[in-house]
This record gives sequence, structure tokens and C-alpha cells, in this order.
Amino acid sequence: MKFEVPKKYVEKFMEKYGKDADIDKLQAAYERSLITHGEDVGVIAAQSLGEASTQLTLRTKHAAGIATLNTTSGLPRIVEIFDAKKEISTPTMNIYLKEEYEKSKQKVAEFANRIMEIKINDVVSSYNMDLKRREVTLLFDREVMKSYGFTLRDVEKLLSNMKLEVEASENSLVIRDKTADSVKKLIRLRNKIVGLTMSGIKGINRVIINETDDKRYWIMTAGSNLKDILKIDEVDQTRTTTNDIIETYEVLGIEIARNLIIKEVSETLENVGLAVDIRHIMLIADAMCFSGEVKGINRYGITGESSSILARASFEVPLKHLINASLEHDVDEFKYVANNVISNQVAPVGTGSVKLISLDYGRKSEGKTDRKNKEE
Amino acid sequence: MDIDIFANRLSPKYKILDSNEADSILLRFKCSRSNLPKIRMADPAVIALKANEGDILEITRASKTAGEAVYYRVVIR
Repeated sequence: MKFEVPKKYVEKFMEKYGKDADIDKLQAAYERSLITHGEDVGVIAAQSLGEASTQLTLRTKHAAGIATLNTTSGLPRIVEIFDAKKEISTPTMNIYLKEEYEKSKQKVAEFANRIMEIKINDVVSSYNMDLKRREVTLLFDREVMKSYGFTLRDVEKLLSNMKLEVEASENSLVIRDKTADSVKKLIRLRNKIVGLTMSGIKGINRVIINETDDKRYWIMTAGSNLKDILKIDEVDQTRTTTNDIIETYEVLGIEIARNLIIKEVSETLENVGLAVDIRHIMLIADAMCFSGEVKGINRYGITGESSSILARASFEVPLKHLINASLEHDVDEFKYVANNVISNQVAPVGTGSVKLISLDYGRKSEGKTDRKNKEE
Repeated sequence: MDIDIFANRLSPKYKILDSNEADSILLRFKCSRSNLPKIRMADPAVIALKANEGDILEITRASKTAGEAVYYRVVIR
């Protein structure tokens, strides 16, 4: 099989040696640089990342008192990405606005205030509950409310489509619910009301405005809601990203999620000063996204799907897998690396993946690994 | 504003292969559709491209190592 040399290399080759240089030489050099058949790339990728991450553990830093967002970094972040966690510990977004907006600090700040989620909780100073009358009284902080630009009316309006009796006085609301006949129900009612979003976009808890060198402003947020942010007109869809891989997968698709895995992992490693070749990360990202959805490298994800019992057992909770396999009469064909290593056999890796074929007699040797035979 | 998933910087280029191209790809890799990497029908990219089940998507990715890399995914349910 002839391998096509990527355009990037052809262009660089031409640049260096002129247009009529011998392209076959490049072809030969390129093919020599390719990885050999049967190379255990997965094991090498695992080792390359595993070795580096042992050094990460001790370097978890805690920067106190710095007014930036505290995002998970180092080993916890790497684990989070590779486990394909649904709820990551510190979701953040980098929001860029379209060019006409991003140069004006005022416009960016206005936008930032608009997207920040303000819950009723943020404008309530205290509350009372009265079980006898089955009512919750919310006392509002006028000053704070004014600074956000709300009035009591807005809160009333928000509550109007819930089946509640609302009574407003100067700066408090009395909310009556006839069905709330226990303290538990009253507390639940209060929590429900207090958690309502008054303005902004759900999930965006904090916003920080950053400035680039050429006086452009962009927003960093705590909390993430890619779907709703991208729908806003001012937002530049090409650059706005979140660090939540599962969310990206749901909104933008598997390919972008795969690219985000690579980006996040390499950035995390770079930030702690480790150099792992990007090819290893690419391989792992491809493996995670092979099935069309993002799967973590754990027993619920790609490892759990392995058809080999011993490979699964050697990863996590061995007894469970072995007992289930024996109950179900499962068969392990010893096709993969892990089970062959366990049973002290030649693993189908490197030279182990090839069988000798004698062409002189015109017939192939009939080995178990026949499907992988390669003419040498 | 609608979300344009192809606008994102991380987005690759997609192309739906016609049946001739699809066959030549399968022949080149000596494999069947079930061996190829997959992409779900519910994936935003598939919905935007209006691809059908069994279609093969040619995905041209920007690659740091190769400049441009071509990848194939088969649409599954």
C-alpha cells in the first residue's frame, strides 16, 4: 500500500529543495518515518501519558486570593477528561464577541451583565416561614435589586405562572401555598422560588472580563451553557468554547468534542510543564470517540466494552467480571494484549503479530492468528 | 441566531460520500461499514448535513502533525 505524503510536507520539501526536486525521496523518507505494522501504539500512548501524570500528582497548586477563576488543573483535570465525566467540577466558557462589539469595553461589560444568571436568591436578604398560615415571606434587598435593575413587580410576574397566592408589600413578598401542610413542603417551596432565574443565562454564575494585548475584550465565565450562549447574536461562534466535553458533544457533535479533548489535555499538560507528544493524545481521543459518542476510559466506557473477559478483569473489579463470565459461559479468544500477557503467551504485538508464511510450497501455515498474517 | 456548528474553529470539513466513493474507500481499507468509526444519527453534524443511515462521511481534519488528515465515519442509528 502506497502512503500519500501530506500536502504540508510536500510544500515544505518544495520550498527547501526547489520545485523539481526528487519527490520519490520524500516519499521514501515519509514511509520510513511511519510507524511499523504491529507496533503497540496503544500501550506506548498509555505509558507516555501515565509516566508524565505521576509527576502531576504532587503539583496541585492552590493559588489563594487571586481574582481569577479557579479551574481544575493537573491530574484531577486529566482524570476528568479521560473518564468523560458528565458533570465536571469547574465548567468554564471563553466567550468572544463579534468584532464590532469586542473592542468596546462598555459593550462587552453590558453583555457580560446580561448573560450572568441572577437568581431570586441573589436579591433576597432574608425570609420567614409560617406553617400555620402556610406562607413564605421573602424580604428583598432594595439596593441590590436596584443595582441589577429589577423591581418587585418582575419577581411577582415571574411567580405569576406558578399556582401560588402572591401578596406584595413595600419590600417583601408573601407567598401562600395551600397545599404546603408541612415544614418540609414549605422549605421545598422556598428553595424552588429562590432558585428561579430572574435574568441572564442559566448556569453562568460568574463573569470576568479579560483584555488581550490589542485591546480586545473577551469574557470568561464560571459555569457553562454553550447552547444558549451560541444562540445570542453578539457571540462569535467561531471562537467561543467551553471546557465541558460532553456538553460540546451534545451541542456541536463528536468531531468537535474529539478536537476539544485533544486541546484540553494538551493544554493541561502544557500548563504544568510536561511535554507529551500530541500523537498519543490524538490516539486516545480517537479511541474515546470511535463509537460516535464520547466514552470514558473506564469500566463503563471503552474498557468495559472490550470483548475479552481477562482484559476487562485486569482493569477494574476483576471478580465481578470473572464470576459473570463463568456464569454466562463466556469465551475469551486471547486475541488481545492484556489477556496474552496475563497468561504468559506471545502477545499479538510487534513481531508477535506476524506468522511465518512459506510461499515455496504454495500453502500457508494454519495458525490461530491467521487473520493477521502478513507476507514478509 | 441558529447555531452553525461548521463555523466553530475546531470543526472539521465534512462531505457525504456517494456510493462509488464509499465502495472505493471500503475496498482501500479492506473492511466493511461496521469496522469504520461511527457517528450517530442524532449528532448535530449529521443532522445539519442531512445524511442518512449507512452513509460514509469524509472528515477532513486540521491536524497539527500532518497539516490535514482525512478520517471516515459511518452514520449509525
